[in-house]
Amino acid sequence: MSLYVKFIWFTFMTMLVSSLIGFFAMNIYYDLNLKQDNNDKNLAIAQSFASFVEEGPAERADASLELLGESGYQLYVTSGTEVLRYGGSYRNESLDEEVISQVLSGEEYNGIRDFPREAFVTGFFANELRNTVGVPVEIDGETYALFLRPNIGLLFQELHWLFGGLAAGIVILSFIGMTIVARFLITPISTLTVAAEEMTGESFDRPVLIRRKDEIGRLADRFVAMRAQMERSISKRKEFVHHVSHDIQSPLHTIQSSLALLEKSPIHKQKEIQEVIGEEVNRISLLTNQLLTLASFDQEELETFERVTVGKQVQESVERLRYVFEEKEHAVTIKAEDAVVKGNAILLQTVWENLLTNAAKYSDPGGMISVKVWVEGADVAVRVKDNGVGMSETEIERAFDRFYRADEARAQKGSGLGLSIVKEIIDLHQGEIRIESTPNEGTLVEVRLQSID
Amino acid sequence: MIRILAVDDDRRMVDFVAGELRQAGYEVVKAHNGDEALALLATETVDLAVVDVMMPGMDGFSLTRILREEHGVSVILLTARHHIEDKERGFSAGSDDYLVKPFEAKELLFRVKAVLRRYDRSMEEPLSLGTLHIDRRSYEIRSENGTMLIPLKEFELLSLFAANPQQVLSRDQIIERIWGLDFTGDEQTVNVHIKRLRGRLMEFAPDVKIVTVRGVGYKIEVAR
Repeated sequence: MSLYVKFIWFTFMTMLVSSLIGFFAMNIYYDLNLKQDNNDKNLAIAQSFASFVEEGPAERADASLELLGESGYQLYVTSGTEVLRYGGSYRNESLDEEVISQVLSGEEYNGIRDFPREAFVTGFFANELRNTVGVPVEIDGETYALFLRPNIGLLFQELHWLFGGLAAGIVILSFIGMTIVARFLITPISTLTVAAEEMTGESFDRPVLIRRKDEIGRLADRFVAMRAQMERSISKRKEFVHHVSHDIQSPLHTIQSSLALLEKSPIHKQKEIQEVIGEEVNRISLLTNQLLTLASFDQEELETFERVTVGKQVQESVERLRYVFEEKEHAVTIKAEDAVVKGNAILLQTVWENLLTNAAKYSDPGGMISVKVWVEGADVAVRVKDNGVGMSETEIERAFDRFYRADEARAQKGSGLGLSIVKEIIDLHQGEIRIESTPNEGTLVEVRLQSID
Repeated sequence: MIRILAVDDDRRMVDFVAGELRQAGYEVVKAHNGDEALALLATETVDLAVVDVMMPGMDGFSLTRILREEHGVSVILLTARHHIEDKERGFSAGSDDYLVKPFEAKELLFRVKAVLRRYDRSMEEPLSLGTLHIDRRSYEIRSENGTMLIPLKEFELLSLFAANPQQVLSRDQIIERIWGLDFTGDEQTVNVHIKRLRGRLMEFAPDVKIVTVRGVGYKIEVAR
């Protein structure tokens, strides 16, 4: 069901229910408070009229009763056997014989007061003989019982129209009003819906022109902000996937062509080609390893921060990577103080290993790498320095971007993910990382973390 | 020939380790659990064992302890990343080194070589020269500037000079002692290593110098 239909249905139900509640409330109020007054008022009228008829000449009695009937009262006059009606008849004329004889014997009848309360019948409107007041009246020496009540139909005929018109007006105008309000609410919702639907098709350009200060306005603002963020992250993700695919594709190409070459090559060449294949396989393996590290950032691992002895950890990383240094005949000096930080040991180990492999990777054979860990004020500083190829200003600026590699010639060696992973881990630990470098002289990377001792 | 025992319940891992080691010229025996490994040792002797930590039945730590204490075999443990505490337990069980999976063949070979060499040289005393200390077991040198890990060939070269502090060593002597008789490089190789070593010492222990003795060779000197 559309919101429009719901609004109209809701309006209708509201009016219906409130009418019913109003009716019942009014009914009870009449029964409790108004019934007595109404009875007494009409009884007084009946009494004064009875005495007017009794005091006047007998031959004028009928005309007087007629006049009273025409002036808005319904009269039922009976002697017990004969019945006279003036001003119309009652819808229901049943009345106990006993009541009539009581009135004939001189008692008053308070039918309006005694009229029982019923759920769907308002005493004020009930056009029944029971719902009248009765007094005795003597005409021409004979006693009659005179029952009367106001002729509601006659008295309130115009009022009916007025109230009917008012009610109809309220209903119609309410519906129109509700429709306008609904429209006011539904139009922006429809706009947002269309824009949201288009988002699933990765289209983010539909204008959302909703300038409002209310809840819908806020929703629209949030929506627009969220959409922009989503667009950015989708384009980032696409770029990422593009990079990853490219980085997997290109070594695969090399492997493919090397394999083809392998068959035709003489034995002494084959070893060389196998090495190329091995290198490319390593590249893919490195890349996927790092992608897994990146993916693990979203997982529970991060939650477990513990005491990490950085000095020891760095020393172990150097030991672990000794074969990497050996391969390129680098020497590594290490001087590490026992510095403790609060962090994730596995992630921090990733940082040190990344920095150390970078230093090894980007230094010519026989290089010197120095590693220092020390405590300085509230900081634990870790410095990895090499005398390798170095980086230019622009290279330093972009060093932490994902998939950025200093230059395409060296691109072969890394995935371009290492430093961006490092940066993310350091950020996670609320630490700082900076790079100082001069091309052909070397690079210095310094990480600072908060000491907890 | 050096014999190495490879133990892992993961058959592919054992095959990988065995394959790489065989290619590097070692003799390898394979076992897929602790009991199998110990049964093998009843009839065979090995010099080194590469043991996985996580195995059904007897785990790598228990096996390491038995290998060490009852058979005197050096052990390299294979541990899973994310289990740093494994390494501590491994050392207390008596392992000589550890490798974190996944590892490259190069890393495996380096560790194996290092452990075997350490075993060979376990009798050798550390050397001291001025501010420089040469630890021939761990292939590290120390000075007031910290610890330096230097490439194996340079380390051998430095050790050779340090062990013969008064002696002038000729190029041929150096080549023979360090590279062996089947050396295929040229004299330039020695020059390069000497030059690198000089550079490293200058920064690390400036009082120790390798000087050229014209027409004869090189010798080590300690500044007073």
